[in-house]
Amino acid sequence: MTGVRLEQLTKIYPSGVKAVDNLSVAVAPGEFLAILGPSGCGKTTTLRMVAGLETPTSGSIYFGSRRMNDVPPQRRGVGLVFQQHAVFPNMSVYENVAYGLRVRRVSEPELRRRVMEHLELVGLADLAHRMPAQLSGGQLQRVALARALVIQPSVLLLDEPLSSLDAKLRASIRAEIKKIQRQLGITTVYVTHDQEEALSLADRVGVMHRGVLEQVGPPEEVYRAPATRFVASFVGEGTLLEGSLVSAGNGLAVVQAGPLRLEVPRPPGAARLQPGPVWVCVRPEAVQLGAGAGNPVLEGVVQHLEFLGWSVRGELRVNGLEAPLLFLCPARAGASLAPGQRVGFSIDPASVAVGQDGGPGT
Amino acid sequence: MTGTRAAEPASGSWLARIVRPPDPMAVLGLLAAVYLAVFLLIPLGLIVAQSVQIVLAGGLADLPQFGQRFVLLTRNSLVLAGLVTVIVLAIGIPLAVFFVKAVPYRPLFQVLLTIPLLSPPFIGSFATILLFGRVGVITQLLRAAGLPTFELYGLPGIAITHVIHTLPLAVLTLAAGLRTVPRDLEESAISLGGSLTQVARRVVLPYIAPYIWMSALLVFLASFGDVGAPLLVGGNYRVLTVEAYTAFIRFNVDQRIPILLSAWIVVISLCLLYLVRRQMKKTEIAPAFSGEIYTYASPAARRVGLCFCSLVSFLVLLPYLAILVASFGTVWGAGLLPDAFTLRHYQALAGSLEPLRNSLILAGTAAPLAVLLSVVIGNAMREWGRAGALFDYVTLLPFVVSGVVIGIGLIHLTGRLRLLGLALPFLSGPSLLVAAYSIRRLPYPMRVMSAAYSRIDRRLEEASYSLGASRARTFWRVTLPQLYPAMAAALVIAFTRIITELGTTLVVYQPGWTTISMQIFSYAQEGLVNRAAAISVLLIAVVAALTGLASYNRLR
Repeated sequence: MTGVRLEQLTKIYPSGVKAVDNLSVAVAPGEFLAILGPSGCGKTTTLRMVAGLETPTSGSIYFGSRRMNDVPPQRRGVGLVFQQHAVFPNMSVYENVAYGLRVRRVSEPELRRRVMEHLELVGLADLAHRMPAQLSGGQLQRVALARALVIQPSVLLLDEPLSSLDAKLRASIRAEIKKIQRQLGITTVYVTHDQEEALSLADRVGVMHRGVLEQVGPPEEVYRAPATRFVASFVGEGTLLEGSLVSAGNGLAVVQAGPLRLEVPRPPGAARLQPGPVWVCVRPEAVQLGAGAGNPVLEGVVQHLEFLGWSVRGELRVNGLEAPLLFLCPARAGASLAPGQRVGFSIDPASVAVGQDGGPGT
Repeated sequence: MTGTRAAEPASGSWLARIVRPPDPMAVLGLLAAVYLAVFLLIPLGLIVAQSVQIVLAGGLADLPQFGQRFVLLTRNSLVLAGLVTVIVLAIGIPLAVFFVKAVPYRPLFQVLLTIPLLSPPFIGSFATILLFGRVGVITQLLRAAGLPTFELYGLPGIAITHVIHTLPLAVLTLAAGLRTVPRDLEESAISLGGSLTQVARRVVLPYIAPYIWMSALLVFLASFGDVGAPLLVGGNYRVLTVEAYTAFIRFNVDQRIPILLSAWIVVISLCLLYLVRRQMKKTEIAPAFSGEIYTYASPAARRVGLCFCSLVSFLVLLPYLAILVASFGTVWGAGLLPDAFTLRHYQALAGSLEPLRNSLILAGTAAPLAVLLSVVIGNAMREWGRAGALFDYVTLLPFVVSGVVIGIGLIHLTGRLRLLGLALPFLSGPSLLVAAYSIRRLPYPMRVMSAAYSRIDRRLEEASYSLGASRARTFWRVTLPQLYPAMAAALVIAFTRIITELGTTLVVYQPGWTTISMQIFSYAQEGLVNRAAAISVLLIAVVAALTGLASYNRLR
């Protein structure tokens, strides 16, 4: 099992665009890292540098203790799965999966065994002799996965493998990828712009923005304690407010944002807040309609109700706040709400995150 | 998603990347570059260099009246090409609009309009003689109706031939452009209160501007570079290409003249090269759009469209009809039809099939060679970064430079080498013709292949690399199989373009290797119109059969 380590990786294109900026991250052997970010943030470029398809401008890539910068993609032994599956259209499913083994001159019986084993792994054993044109998008993506895995890569790299599939298929293949990754225990880097995919699949999520990896951590941590304003706004839903720090200490930060005065618990190890402006991220689950458990009750006006099936999503306009607060409530409770209605609510500070721009750790 | 499709060129100079030893594709690319240098760049370069030498040595002083003649020829060439371009666009733009938007039986018109593209332009010119000549059918009709007739030989003859020959090319290019105009665009313009003509003028035409430019350039170049029609019906209207050719084949003319004229043609063509490449890029990459287009539904518009398209198609096809009639006719003197019909000309043809055989052998060798070159060069264009872009210009050269000039350059080069005692076997005989053809018609398969390359998903190749396959193996197993259909199409296009080539053929002609195009040309020149017609019908049939086969294959 090999880990992957990227050290101060930078990619500047000839056009002068800095796609990846001084990125460092280590993926432990067998770990599943998701790199999450909007399109154009440099996540695909990062992945392509790991695969050897792009040359870093500076910085190093290590597989285990071996520096890989000068190793061509042919010799990196990575398994690569693309967004558009990239299944060779001129070869059958079987030949697609066998391709990497034929390159390696694996003997015919051994090749046959391994190809069928991997086709079974992805549930395509009975389609082995179909041509790609006869397969659905989901099946093609499975072929691509089997083709990448059959060479027993030291690292599996997936570039938005699900984004060309429809929603239902996406969920089922997502579960499959997770299962197979666990089963094989293969070090995996997964690039996506879909936070649901990243949060549900990965052991750790790295959030990338404008070429910079802004935060790396377990999914819960990235969601509960975003390190930067961007991470707070990109991962999960919520309302970002501008506020100021009243006092900090004892693992608690007291912040004032308009009429809201919140005592926000700070995660251990979080950067120390400096007196001055802060951003405040109020998650929808922090907004509790009616009287809260000991939290001060405020009043707001309901706007924009959206029925989502099992729940209702809405916004509360509060006097003195620059942005309406997003809230979710069960559909049954939401049924009594109407736009324009005044309701009391409270905020649970445990679902609020606070941070500062430009400070240490951001 | 980050907008980085292609693998980034590795750091280091391009030379270092190409010369990495174990890459057969790079070796082939270098060979192709050498081939282009030997058969295209060096010949053309020699002509230009020698002209500079002549001018610097004061050679113009002892060529009396050359200056005046030079200006006149240039003016004639530009006037002809400009006139043809203006006429073709004036007819072609409305025709294309009707053709795409308001015509029933579109496939029929598509086929009809393709016919002139399948034949060399000079076939059209002796057909115009049959129609507009002193005893031509239309001349007689005009005379009978008491209308003024005109002298065909000269500018009118060449212009008519060129218009008829290039109109379909322009219409098909413009039609391709019109098919990229999204329906929403026109519908929203109409919903804002524009009339159909207003919308066509203000919205549609600006949208397809690159295609209009492209077709104008195609027409201009075809007319500027052609030598067949001006030779046959040009009369005293001399143009640059004809003067260069006639001066070159006559021994009693100062041999500096064709060199100077050729160099001048090269210079003018080079000025157009940049424009051609720019418009080609714009019109090549754009047709990703394949949605619905707006059509004119009103019966009146469709009636007008049908009439207009039928009339123009009829006029365009009239010369070919005349050829068909003439090929079965005896003497076609005074009268609307020949005096009698006969199969004599075809029987005579059967006795001398050698030109056809020659053409098939030469095209059958040169076409695969040209396709091979375009596969190799197309790959190098993607892989070599900036050096690859150079190929882009070089392979367009034979497209903009007249075939006569390319021929003169080649013969000039071989002559020079012979003087140096280097009589290489492939620089004479049929192999020189094959080389000349593969260069001269390279732009056609090249266009097909570079479009095919741009459609290949680079990720397939990257997936192959990541699975451990070498560049060569990846090319052979992954890239090439995706190019097969395009290669077949490129082969047919190259073949038909080679078999209808005349300009280079006339100059590079090797004893014993008369081609079918040359045979038609010399019959036409000798006034053996019926024979020329019979052979033309044969040539068009061969080319049409091949093209039909290719499109049938594509449809399957």
